[in-house]
Amino acid sequence: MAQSPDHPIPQILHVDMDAFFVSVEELENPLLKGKAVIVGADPDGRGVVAAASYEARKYGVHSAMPTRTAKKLCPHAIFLRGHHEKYSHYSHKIYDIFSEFTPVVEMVSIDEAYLDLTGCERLHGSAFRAADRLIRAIKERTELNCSVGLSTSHLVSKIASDQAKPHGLLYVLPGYEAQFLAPLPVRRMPGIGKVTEPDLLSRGIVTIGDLAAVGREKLQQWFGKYGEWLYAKSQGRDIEAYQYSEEPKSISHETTFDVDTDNAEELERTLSYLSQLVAGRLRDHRLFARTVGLKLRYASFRTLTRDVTLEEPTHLDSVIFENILRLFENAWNRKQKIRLLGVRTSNLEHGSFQPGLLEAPQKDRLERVMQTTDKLRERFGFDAVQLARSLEPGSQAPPRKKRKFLGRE
Amino acid sequence: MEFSTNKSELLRELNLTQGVVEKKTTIPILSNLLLEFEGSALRISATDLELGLRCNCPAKVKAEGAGTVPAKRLLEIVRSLPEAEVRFKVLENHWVQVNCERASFKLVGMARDNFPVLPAIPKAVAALPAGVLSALIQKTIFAISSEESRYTLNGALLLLKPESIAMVATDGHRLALVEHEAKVAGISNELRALIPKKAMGELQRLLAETPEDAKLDFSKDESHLFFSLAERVLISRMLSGQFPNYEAVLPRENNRVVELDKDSVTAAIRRVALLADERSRAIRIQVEKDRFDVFSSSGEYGEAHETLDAQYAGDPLQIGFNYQYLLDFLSVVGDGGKVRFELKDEQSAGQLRPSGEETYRYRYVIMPMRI
Repeated sequence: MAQSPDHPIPQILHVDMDAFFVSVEELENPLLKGKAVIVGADPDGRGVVAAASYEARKYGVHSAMPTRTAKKLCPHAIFLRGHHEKYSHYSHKIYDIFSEFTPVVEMVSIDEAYLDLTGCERLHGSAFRAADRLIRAIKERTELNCSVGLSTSHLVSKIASDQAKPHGLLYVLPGYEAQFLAPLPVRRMPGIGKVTEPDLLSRGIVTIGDLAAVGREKLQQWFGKYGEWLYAKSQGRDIEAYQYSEEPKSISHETTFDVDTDNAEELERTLSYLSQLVAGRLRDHRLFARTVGLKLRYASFRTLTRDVTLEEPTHLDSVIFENILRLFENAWNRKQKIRLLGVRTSNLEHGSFQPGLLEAPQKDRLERVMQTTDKLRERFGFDAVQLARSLEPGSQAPPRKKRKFLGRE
Repeated sequence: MEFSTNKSELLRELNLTQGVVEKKTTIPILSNLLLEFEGSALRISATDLELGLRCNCPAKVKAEGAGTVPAKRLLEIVRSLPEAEVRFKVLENHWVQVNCERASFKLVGMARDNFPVLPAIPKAVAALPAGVLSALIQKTIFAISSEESRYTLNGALLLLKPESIAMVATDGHRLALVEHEAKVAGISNELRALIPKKAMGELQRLLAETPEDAKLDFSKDESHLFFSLAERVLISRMLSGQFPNYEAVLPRENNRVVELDKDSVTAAIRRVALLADERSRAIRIQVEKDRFDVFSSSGEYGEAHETLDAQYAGDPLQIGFNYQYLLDFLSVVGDGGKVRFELKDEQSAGQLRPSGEETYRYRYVIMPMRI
């Protein structure tokens, strides 16, 4: 590939913080260092692991695993409930460092980002050196470790950063993408999951190299459009203009109760809390939702969903909560205990829409309240400001103890 | 039971009744007109149970009586007749015979007892100048909501005070308010009445047939409003419910004031609207020093832009509006002259008003669109 000023070779960096939540906890409490630490839900309850230290991972603990299982695997581990506000504080610090390297930073989650260094050679020298400097800068200024993958595509960089862990840098040279991917099992490819993997294995395709060898035509025959996508991925190419323009089609949060419940107040509090999480993310994305939906799972695992379409799209906590509560009151039979509740918003729009005039004075106040809330939450964490309905009766403080840590999104 | 009347006078009254007659009724009698003739007049009544209209027409009554006939058929018949005397006769079985010169019609009628009784007119509470009322209606009727779920917005609020007469309408997205200073005879306190949209339209038709300086007698009972104009009276069911507190949405701090030539801005918005998104009808307005720009873009068809000279000295501002809402106002604000756009920021309601008009204090408040 020849480099020309018009078509510079893409240089995509994927940065993934090493055991982020655990590392942040260790900074605050150095005694945790070198120990098996697990951040996540109550190990006697039903939630999942949000992060595990490398010590704990030696016992087979990994994120998204039920904490109960983790406790069985690693009974001596230190279990922490997590401090989201601390993590977002560090996440912001890291973001600031990223921004010094390139204006094109895409945080895909609290501890993970893509940086586009394409065409930044004059500024930083080679992308490889820039990546090295970035790792050092993060270490110096936050004392946190990260792993970095560098290549010509988001896909390859993401896999490379994973290979580089912990605290490593892996550079896949332009033109060597397919070669790098070839020996990896197909499951390592983002987008190949529980459904596709068995299908591929049954066809004798075990590695990404096998996938490439099958060729585009065959894959297309087998999987249609998805086959084409698989082939491009096996070559290490991003097909869609990556996530820059990709917008969420829906935003939702759900929570499983530690213990099934039919306590109306607790259920309401949870819905209020989830509504706030969802509304906050809508505002982050500068989106408005026209449809608000409830998910309700009974102890029996019977699951209901209910939707309502609003006259005017919204990103306000209280509006989402009002509608969710109405859906919930109509949906819940009040006889059975509930295992899980979820709030989902869809039909998202940037809104050219017509807000109401008569509600305007009141909406205006709400908007201002929410702007202030978002600022406070940025500084002091999500729990700093709450709708009154999210609070436990008689309490001054938000219901942190009861609330399951929601972990990575 | 027989009378005769002049064709053109009869036709004029029949035309007025057509808007009131129920078109798709399940109650057949409501498609009929009630004709009552006594003394020296024919009285024509129509109703759809929401609205009633009673008109009078001079007639030579040979024998007093009454009958009901299908409204639409009668109108079509009378319209087709030559300019001559029209003779009516009620036959047996409620049929009605219509003769004019050598033409003869026999219409199937229904018993007059089946026709709903219109409420009696109470004593007038105020005398309203016809021309003013007509202007008030014209300047507000378009802002009334047609959404049945928002029934308190399905009409306009008439506000009578000793020194002024005002009307307000809103559909929840924009609001039109017009006030006129005049002594209102008969009013000592504030009087409020919510007039349904259909009544406003019919009233406007009646007012168009009336000299501007005529007075209209306004009265009400517990559930009806009455508008009496000479020989005609329109009766409307009153809208129940609370009209929103419109004063709360009137902007107070809209300091960014742009003054524009009305005809130029109307034409520019019409043009730019041709490429606006069809569903949202959004256009974008940008104001900066002495300049007013209108933009539109439609994913399907392209985009448009026009620049206008304006008088403006404030900070630049961009704001989105539904172009139809703007045009609704601009098309009734009056001929020529200038209009003012009074804005605050891109999220707050904007106010439009004519520059310098004094007969009517007219303000139009629109919620901007998010674009």
